[in-house]
This record gives sequence, C-alpha cells and structure tokens, in this order.
Amino acid sequence: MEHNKRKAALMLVLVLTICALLQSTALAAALRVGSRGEEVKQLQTKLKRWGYYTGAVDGIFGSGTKKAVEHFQRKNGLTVDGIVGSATAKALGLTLSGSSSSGSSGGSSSSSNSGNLYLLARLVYGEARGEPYKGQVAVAAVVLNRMKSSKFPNSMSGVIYQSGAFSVVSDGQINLSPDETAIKAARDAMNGWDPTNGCLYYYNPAKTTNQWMLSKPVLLRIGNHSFFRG
Amino acid sequence: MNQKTKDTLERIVLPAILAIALVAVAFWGSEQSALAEEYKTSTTAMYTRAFTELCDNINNLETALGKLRVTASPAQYVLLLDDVWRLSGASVSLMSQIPASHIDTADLNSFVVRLGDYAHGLTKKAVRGIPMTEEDQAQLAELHNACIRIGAELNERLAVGDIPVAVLTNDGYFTSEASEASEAGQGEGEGSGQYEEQEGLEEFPTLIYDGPFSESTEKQEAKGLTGNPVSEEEARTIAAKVAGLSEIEPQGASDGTIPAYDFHGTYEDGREVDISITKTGGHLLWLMSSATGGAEGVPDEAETARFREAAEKYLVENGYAGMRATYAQYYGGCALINFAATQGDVILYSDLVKIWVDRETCGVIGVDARNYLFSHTERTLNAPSISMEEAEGMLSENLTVKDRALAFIPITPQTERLCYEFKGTCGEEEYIVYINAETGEEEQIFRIINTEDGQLVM
Repeated sequence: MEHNKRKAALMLVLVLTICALLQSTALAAALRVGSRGEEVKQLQTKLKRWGYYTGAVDGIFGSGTKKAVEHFQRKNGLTVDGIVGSATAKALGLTLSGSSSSGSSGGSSSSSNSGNLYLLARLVYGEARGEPYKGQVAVAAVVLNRMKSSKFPNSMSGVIYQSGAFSVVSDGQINLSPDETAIKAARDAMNGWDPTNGCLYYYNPAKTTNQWMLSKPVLLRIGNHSFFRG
Repeated sequence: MNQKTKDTLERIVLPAILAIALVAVAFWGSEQSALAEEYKTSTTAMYTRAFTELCDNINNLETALGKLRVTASPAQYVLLLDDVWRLSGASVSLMSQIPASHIDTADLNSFVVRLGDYAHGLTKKAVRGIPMTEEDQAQLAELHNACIRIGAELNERLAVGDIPVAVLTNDGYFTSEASEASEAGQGEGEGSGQYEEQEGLEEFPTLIYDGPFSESTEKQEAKGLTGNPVSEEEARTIAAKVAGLSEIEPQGASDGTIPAYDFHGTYEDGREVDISITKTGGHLLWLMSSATGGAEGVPDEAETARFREAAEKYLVENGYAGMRATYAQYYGGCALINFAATQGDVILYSDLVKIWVDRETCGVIGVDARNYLFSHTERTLNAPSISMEEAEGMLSENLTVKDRALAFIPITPQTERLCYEFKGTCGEEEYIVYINAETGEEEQIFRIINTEDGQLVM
C-alpha cells in the first residue's frame, strides 16, 4: 500500500510536469476538412472578403473551403495542403484557439470606419459586457467624447490604447471577439447616442481605489459604472 | 511483476524520469525569463523612443514659437505656424505612447492640442490676408514662455540619463511641481495613491481663440434649450407620451452638457426603450429603442421615400417644422435619417435631428435632438453680397453641378457662415462644395462616399 501511494504521487508529479511543458509550447489547433465552428466561420469570411472563397459562410470546413485555403496557400507561397495550421493562420491574420495569445485577433487591421467600429465594440465587450445595454453605449460614448476633448488623443486607437486608460487593454480582454450587442452599442454611440451626456471618465465604485476618480462629482450611474466629466 | 522489476522501477526509473523532467522545467523556466527580459527591453526601448521624441518635439515647438516672434516675412510666418501645427499633432500622438497615466498627461495634452489648434487658426487667418494683431503677438509670447519652461523641465529629466519608465508610469510625472510630491492616481482598479487636489492648471496659459478644442467650445452652452424648468413628474408624462407607453420608470438624471431626466420602458414585444427629457423646457433629447427586424443594405427608392415620410410626419407631430432630410444610413434593421432645420430657403446644418425608422414597421425607434438643442436659434439673415450665378462661376471647371442651395455651415463650433452649396460630380465621384455667399471664397469641400450602409460624407 505504502509503495503504491508513493508511486501514485510520483506519477502525479510527472504527469503535471509534462502537462506544464506541453502547455508552454501549446501547438495551434489546426483547421481542416471536417472542422466546424466560429473559427471556420471567421476563416470563410476572410477568404470570401479576399475573393478566394465563393461558398456560404456556414462554419463547416468542406471541400469548397479546402479549395479556397489551397488557393490562398498557393498565392501566398505557403505549403499547399488545405490545412490551416499556424503558418497559414498567421498569413490569414487568424488567431486559432490553443495558440499562444500573442498577436491581437484579426479583423481590426483596416483603419476604415468598420475597423474603428470593431475596435470600439471590442472595448465595449471587454469593459461592459453584462452591463445594461445603455451602459454599454455609455462606455463607447466616453471613448468618442475623449476623441473630441483636448485632454486626450484625437484618434480612436489613441484613446483606447492610451496607457492605463482601460484595464481591458492591459489584461488582454480587448482581444476577445465582441458579441452582437457590443457591436450594436458601438454603432449607436458612433451615430451620436451619448447616454453620459458628455462624460470623459467612468469607474466601477466597487472596484476602483483611485482617489482622484473617487473625489470627482458623479454625474450619473448606469449599471455598475459611475460617470463624471473630469 | 516480480519484486526486482518493481524495485528497479521505483528506485531508478521513476526518479530518473522525474530528474529529467525537472531539468526540462528548469530549462524552460530560464528560456521564459530570457524571453520576458527581451520583451521588457523592447517595450522600454519603445517607451524611451516615444519620450525622447516627445522632448525633441517640445523643444522644436519652442524654437518655432521663438522664430514666429521675430519673423517679418509673411511666407516664413505661415511656414512656421504650419510647423507648430504639425509638431503639436506629433506630440499628442507621442504622448499617448508613453506609459504615463492619462490623468497625469491630460493638462499637457490639452495645452499642446490648443497650441496647434491656435496656430492652425492663425494660418487660416494669414492665408486670407488678415494681419497678425497685437493680441496674437502677446499670446504667442506667452505660449513661447510656457514652452520654454516645459521644455526645460523635460530636458532636465532627459539629461539625468536613462528615461525613468517606472517614474513616468506612476509618480505623476506630468502633473505640476506643486502636486509632484503627491502620488497621482493610476489606472482604474490599481494602486492606491494619496490624493491631493492637483493645482497644475495655472502652469499652462489660457488660450483665447475660437477653434474646435478651445476652452470656450468645451464649455459651450445649449442655445436651443428654451422654456421653463420642468419637474421629474412632468418629464415622465412627456416621456411616456413620446414612447407611446402608459407606464415608464424614472432612472434618475444626467447632469451633463444638457441636463436631463432619464426614463426606461419596455414595449409589449419585449423591446426596451430609453428616453431623456431635458430639465429645461421638457424637450425630447434622446429616444433609443431597437428595430424589430434585421434588414441590411440600401433599400429601393420607394422604400426610402416611405421611411423619409414616416420620419417627417414624426418631426412635424413633435414640433419640428420645416426640417429637411439630408443623408441617410441603413443598418441593423433601421434607417437613420439626418434632418437639418431650415429658415426660409436656408438650410441650417448645425441644427441636426437624427431619426431612426424601423424598416419593418415604419415606426420611429430613435431620436437624437442634441445638436438641434445645442445650436437652434433664429439666425440673422443678410442678403448675400454675391449671387448664386456668380458663386457658381467661381467653382472648379472639373465639377459638374447637379444641385444648388443656400446654407449656414459650421466653420468652428461657434461660428458659421452663409454659403452657397453646390452638389456635383467629378468623374465618378460626388462632391459638395461650399462658396461663401459674402466673400466668394471656397469654405469647405466634402466628398460623398457611397457604402453598403448608405452615404457617408468625408
């Protein structure tokens, strides 16, 4: 019995060590024929946008998608195997689940309006998912109000990525894919809805310890956030 | 398994595997820490570059301002102002790249933005041939002195040697001397600094001018907010009426740029609606709900007309007469139509009301009257000094005119000018050109961009 216990303990340590090692080198999960889901959808959307794919964006990796991937690989000097591994994913600007979370997710590279909309939606999703809809629009409106203020950078990415401005930028939540609600909230704010009535700052009274923020008169509260003009 | 193999396994094989694993982990750990060190070095290098460049820019700004005070050549004057504008833009961009808290950099950021904004205003005056006034001279001298002071402080820090990245991050580096001793706040949810009122503002001179970032603009008051104060109960009745609901719940007030009472309601089909009613006059500031369908893309002309009529009917019913539809976007099951007020034949582009129409029901699901409430007043209309034909003659030959109108267009947030509006095409592209009805100068050019969501004006 004693021996067995020791052995089990040793094995456990061994297994854990190997797991840790495996995780550190985590290989990107490849997409291939038969794969399904959100990532396949993203892949199809990208291929379609760039003209490699003409089929439906249905989230199912079939022969049509495989052909499109091969076409893309040929055009971009990659190994033509019809499988989206890490190299192809990188060329496509896709982040595969399981790959280490270095780069930001794709789709935000364009500086056009839709790129800005998506960036704003990602911030809203990171900062305010779970808040009432109006509270999500309010967070987006604060970003837009900052762009118009002399105290802040005048571009959207400047405001969002400004040092220490948003906690979701430092902890990486900004890279999560936003849901429909966050995108709609960002859009409503960009079209002019400002539930904060011109506020430049907000904080969560339950979480913040920032004395400067806490000392400011609160103009309004929506959900868990308090907003003020600064 | 006999005893001997069991012993071998326990005494030799397992410990050996474990030892190998430990070595591997140690190796991996050192690799990771080397990697982290590499990242740290490259981030520090980027921060250092941004900070050093910021210092350079501030020094160059100081030099340009100094030169501006002694130049006598109009051409040199404009070039130097242009330099100030460019350097201010670059400095603002660099300031957002250094790891200092946005709360600490706010005042310096404001100063640099306004400095550039002011210089740009002077350039515009100069190219119109308006000479520099004594006030401008005095203002420039003051700005120059402020820049010398800020530049000197930054240079001093630079001369010390390495750039204190950690210092930039959290010791309130960019707040004034007076509050430097106090720890300034960090980002939300981190750290806990002793807070003292920051009295850094007087370090930066106040700039009096009219530009998009001027202090007077940021403190602007709503002109269109007429009427007497209403109580929350009165506002609630108004909100319920505009939403078409019998019950609506109060959600407090938002005392921002236009103080208002907020309300929330739910329609029978579960859609929610948020409404704000101004405290002065009980005007509808916002109404926001969602569409029942999810139609996308630009609809055909008959449908477009139907949406516009629905929106126009709503506007008239709610006391906005004589509004003219300008442009529209289509997304998420709704049509967003912009309406500008008119006075006689003149379009008032500052007085905007946005209406969202549900594409399935043709009902109004959104209203934004903030711009209208901000700027709507009776304008003084002087007869234009030049005729529309004369103005049209001043247009570029490349523009084929399709449509003409007279309009007040915003030049800065506080000034607007009476202009002739010419919509036309140049090749495949559509443009709108505004010619000043007093001076005949070209005030503004817009390009219309057709997207799958509708028209955008750039």
